[in-house]
Amino acid sequence: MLILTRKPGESLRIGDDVRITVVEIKGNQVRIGIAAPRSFPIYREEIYLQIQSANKEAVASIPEGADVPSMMSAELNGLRSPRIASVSRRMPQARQTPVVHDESKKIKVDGEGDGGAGDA
Amino acid sequence: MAKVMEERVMPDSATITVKSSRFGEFEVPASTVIEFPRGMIGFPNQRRYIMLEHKGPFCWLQSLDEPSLAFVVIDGMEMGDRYDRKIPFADPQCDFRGDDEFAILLIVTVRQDPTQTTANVKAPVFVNMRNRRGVQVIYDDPNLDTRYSLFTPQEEAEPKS
Repeated sequence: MLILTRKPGESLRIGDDVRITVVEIKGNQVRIGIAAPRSFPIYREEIYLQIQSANKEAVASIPEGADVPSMMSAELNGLRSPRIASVSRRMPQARQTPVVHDESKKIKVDGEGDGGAGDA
Repeated sequence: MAKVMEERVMPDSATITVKSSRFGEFEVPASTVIEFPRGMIGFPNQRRYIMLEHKGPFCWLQSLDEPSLAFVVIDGMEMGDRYDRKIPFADPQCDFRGDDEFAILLIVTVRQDPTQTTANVKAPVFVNMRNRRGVQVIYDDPNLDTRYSLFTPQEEAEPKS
């Protein structure tokens, strides 16, 4: 792993498109700003790993050739097959929305204030 | 046998062969393929899927690239409005626009005890029906659980993990 030393306010570049800035150091926490194209989803690592293992668990949870419906009883009848919704109907102000860092968030994303697909 | 959802008549009626370890080998219209430009999280190299209907609320997302890879999914719209403001507009490959139609799918984990079956509401899958491109999104929100119980619907998912 490449290790570099930076001071608050200083940045790193990864390739031509990604800039990582040390915003603030406070106790044992570092606030990091990331400016990257929207095609780069940005996640806290532990959450990414959590989803990765959840996906793998989901795949592994279905035994080869298993009859899934019989494993899941009929109690789920209230749920239906996926429906299609329209973006505009569900979300009138769709375009301007992307949110969404919770208050405690230590990763801040520069630019338009959203962090790729993961945070929109 | 599972049935292809959203079957559409293509002018050229192009078909594609699906090889599935569960459902055997069959043809589906090429227009039904859903492309995940980044794959599912943890499965970045399997990018093409088809949806197959199953009984009840369940559907399959079957990989076209790996016969043994399939997810059981349910409709995320059932989860009420929790995703209303969270459509992944930032994903350039899905290219969501204001007048697009989309589906939300939640990945199901089957447990031996069916009452323990859960859905991942923290990382739903969005599919843009216009370009048939999908993305799995992670929400960094402690109120959204990777193991939301399908059998004891709570008012709000309790943060468990």
